[in-house]
Amino acid sequence: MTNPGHEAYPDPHHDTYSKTVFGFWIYILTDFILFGVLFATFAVLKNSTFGATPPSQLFNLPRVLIQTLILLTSSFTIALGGAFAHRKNKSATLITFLITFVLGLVFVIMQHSEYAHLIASGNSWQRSAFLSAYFTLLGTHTLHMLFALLWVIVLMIPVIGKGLSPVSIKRITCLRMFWQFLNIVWIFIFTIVYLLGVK
Amino acid sequence: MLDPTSESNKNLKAPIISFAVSIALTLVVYYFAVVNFLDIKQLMFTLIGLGVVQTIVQLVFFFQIADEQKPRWNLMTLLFTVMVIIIIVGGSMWIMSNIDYNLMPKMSS
Repeated sequence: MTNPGHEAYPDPHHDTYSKTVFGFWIYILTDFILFGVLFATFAVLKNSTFGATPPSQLFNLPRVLIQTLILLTSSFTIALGGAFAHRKNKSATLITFLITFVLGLVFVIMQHSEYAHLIASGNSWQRSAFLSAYFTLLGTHTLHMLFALLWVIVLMIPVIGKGLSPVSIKRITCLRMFWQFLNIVWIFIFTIVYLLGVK
Repeated sequence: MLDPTSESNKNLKAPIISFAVSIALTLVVYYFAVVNFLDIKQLMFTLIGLGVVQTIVQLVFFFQIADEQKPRWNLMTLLFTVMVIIIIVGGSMWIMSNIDYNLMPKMSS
């Protein structure tokens, strides 16, 4: 994990720099296992609708496509934000993270209104095993997204105040990893839960 | 990104490539799902396959997993995790489909 490029970052703890990112990567991987288990549960319970409305009538695919594109765009803007942070470009970093935050917020609001719609139409998690698995999987994703949004706010306050310190660049890298991990999980939610779920 | 000290972190080209390819793949996947010219089994393999492709594209261009120096701990831990997921998810679905197969006929008769 050593790299001759260390001089570019005058971090007194530069040895812990790579270790922090690697440790966070390990956390991301364990989170992948968590979602893998929830996907397995979903796949097993998918057809156990207990006579309730089948998935094909519950989901609105064009709307989910828009959500997917929004999340993908936010994943792109956070990648740009990470690159700008490494370039020590404070204003560009703040703007890209603001865009990321807004896109993430729109995504979570759309997700929330979908849950509200399902529950209002009598399809809550209590209705069938399929819906329990659906709400567990999607709810876990949304919960992660909410924490990611909170993290953006917490991270950007010191950047506004003190500028881009090596510590904040390190934290931005972790946040970026977390956000893009959530986007990868969403690719599979989009494919398995929605596109294949309605078949 | 996985190597925080690498110069490639300043690169803007990789995110743009990743974004363009991911958008294209998302639209292709959506198109396949909406027009019905594949049966369910073919569709399942195609869509999940394209999902895996998109994941690899994002790991290479967003996470920059290929830029890592040896020893490639990030890549090795990733491959180990993939193995664990395949065992857990594949194994669960295998067992549960066997249980379904062995229980369902009796229940329906």
